[in-house]
Amino acid sequence: MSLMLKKKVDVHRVYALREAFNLFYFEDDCIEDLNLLLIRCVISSLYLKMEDERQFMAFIFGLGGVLCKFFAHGACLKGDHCEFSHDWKDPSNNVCTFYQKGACSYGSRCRYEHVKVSPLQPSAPSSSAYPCQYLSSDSVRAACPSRAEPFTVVPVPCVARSSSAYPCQYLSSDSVHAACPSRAEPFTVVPVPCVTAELSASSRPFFPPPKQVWISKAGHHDVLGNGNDGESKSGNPADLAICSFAAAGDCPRGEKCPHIHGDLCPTCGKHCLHPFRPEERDEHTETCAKKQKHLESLKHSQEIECCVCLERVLSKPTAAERKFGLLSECDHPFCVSCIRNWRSSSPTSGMDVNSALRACPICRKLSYFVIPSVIWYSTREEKQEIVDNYKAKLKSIDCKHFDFGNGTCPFGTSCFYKHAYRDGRLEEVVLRHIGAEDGQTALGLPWYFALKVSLIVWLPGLFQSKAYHVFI
Amino acid sequence: MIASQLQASRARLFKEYKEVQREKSADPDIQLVCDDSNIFKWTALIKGPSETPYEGGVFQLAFSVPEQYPLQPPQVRFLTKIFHPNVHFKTGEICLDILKNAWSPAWTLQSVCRAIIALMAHPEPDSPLNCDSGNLLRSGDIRGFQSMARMYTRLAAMPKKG
Repeated sequence: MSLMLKKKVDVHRVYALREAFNLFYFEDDCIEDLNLLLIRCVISSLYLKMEDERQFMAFIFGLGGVLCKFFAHGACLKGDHCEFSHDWKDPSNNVCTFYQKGACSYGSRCRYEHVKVSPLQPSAPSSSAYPCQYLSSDSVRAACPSRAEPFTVVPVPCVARSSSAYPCQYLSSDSVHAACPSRAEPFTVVPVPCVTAELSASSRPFFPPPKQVWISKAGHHDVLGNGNDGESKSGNPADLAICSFAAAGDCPRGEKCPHIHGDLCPTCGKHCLHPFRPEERDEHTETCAKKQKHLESLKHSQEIECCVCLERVLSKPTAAERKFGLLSECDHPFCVSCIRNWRSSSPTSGMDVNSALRACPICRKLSYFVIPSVIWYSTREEKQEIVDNYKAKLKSIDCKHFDFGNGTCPFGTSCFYKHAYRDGRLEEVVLRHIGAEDGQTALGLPWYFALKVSLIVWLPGLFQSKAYHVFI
Repeated sequence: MIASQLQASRARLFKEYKEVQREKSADPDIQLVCDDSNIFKWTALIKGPSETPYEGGVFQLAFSVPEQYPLQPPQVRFLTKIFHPNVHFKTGEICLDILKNAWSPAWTLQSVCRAIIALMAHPEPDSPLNCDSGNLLRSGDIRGFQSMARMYTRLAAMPKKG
């Protein structure tokens, strides 16, 4: 994104922009212009240099009344210049956006709330739910001091979606341009003649089946519209976030902490089990046990030395080197870099490919591929798991030789990588039929197997395939 | 790549050096010494194995370690004259599979020395570098071979008396 390249983008602004995109429904033409305006506002740091503009931005995204995440977690680098509120009384937007998109790598350890996007379970207050709430607040006038008439922000969620109910007259592109004629009034909002009054009364029936994140939030806005900040805090105990300090080990506020402290996890010894979310508890217990097991095997792996460099594999200087290279056929430990170097050293040096290079340096057992792993296994099952995970990972990566069908992969059907065409179709395994001399049909192999045999001698290391063994 | 390879071989040789220092007394038949100024040059003194014509002799080996070590084998040759079918009589070159096509990076200089001692005890007359010695063995003249080998051991590998 050019935004990332041109400007030094801080997290807040990107966040704001993302929210803006959520707010405005893309496919509506009239809104497109408003969108542009918004983007211009957001990406230009000039707009954010001045107090007024900052307030405007905060207002237009409804950030002003939302508790700053960074402040809430202990440190906001922006201090007084933060677009978000640094007032503990304000509701926090502690929703993990990654979780809502489907993948938060922190899992149960995430300090943000994992709220599912569903109309049944109204999400925690989010900035996008707010614009309407602040229409009458002083901040509006403060943000637009030069204007006498009170401005409203486009009541985004509702109008954007229910265009049939609200013909886009308020949002026509002309009005957008007119509203923003020059730099002198950069932060003009579309002057929508108070839509909010209608909205609060009639917005509900117009909600189409919820598809987007903000829909569910919009449903929540009626509740918030009552102006009770405390209400969002005190609802269902399962909606409350647990204290992230306590979850990380120690909460400096102790008993006085405004957040609830989680129960103690017996495995990791941290107060990170949410007392009112059984699913999350189970998830955490499970991942925690897995992690513990991983740690133990990691500890056990520390001592293991590579037989090529004679060093401890996990004490190597760079992170890339601190990996084991497992051989498929035997159980001798090596660094992945050492064993790959050895296997890829040129056969011209007089060493035979099969009996020396691709054999285990210790037991000389022939292995066809090397599996990288950060831990050393102690049982056969563990090894199998590592191998399976590795193969599954490679299978999800498109083969660069196959190149979506444009190229030919020397490894053919035994390639570990994904052979799929651009439309997602997988390559079919074709066995060529050869008419044998005696009139019977013999099963032949695709021509590239012949190529493979000659190529595979040159292509060392990881990419060796078992097919070689079979066809020679 | 080349620089890192050099780094790697240096590190590996340093490890081996420390190992040799630590286990100096572990194998009394082998005395492995690194050149003072160049870690890629080593010399070794090995004792001739007992119950062979080389018994009582001390043989000097010169190691020249390539920069690709341990991916490539070290070059080893006898500095002491030895009458052995797999050692070139003039140059001291050794014909040993693990120093050529059967090399494995798991071998160390120490283990190469052990392999050479084993080779002295079990000559392989079918791939001779020293044809005279090989022919003696192949023709079954064990006694002739042993006396020749014994003579050269006395001449070259034993301290001269008086």
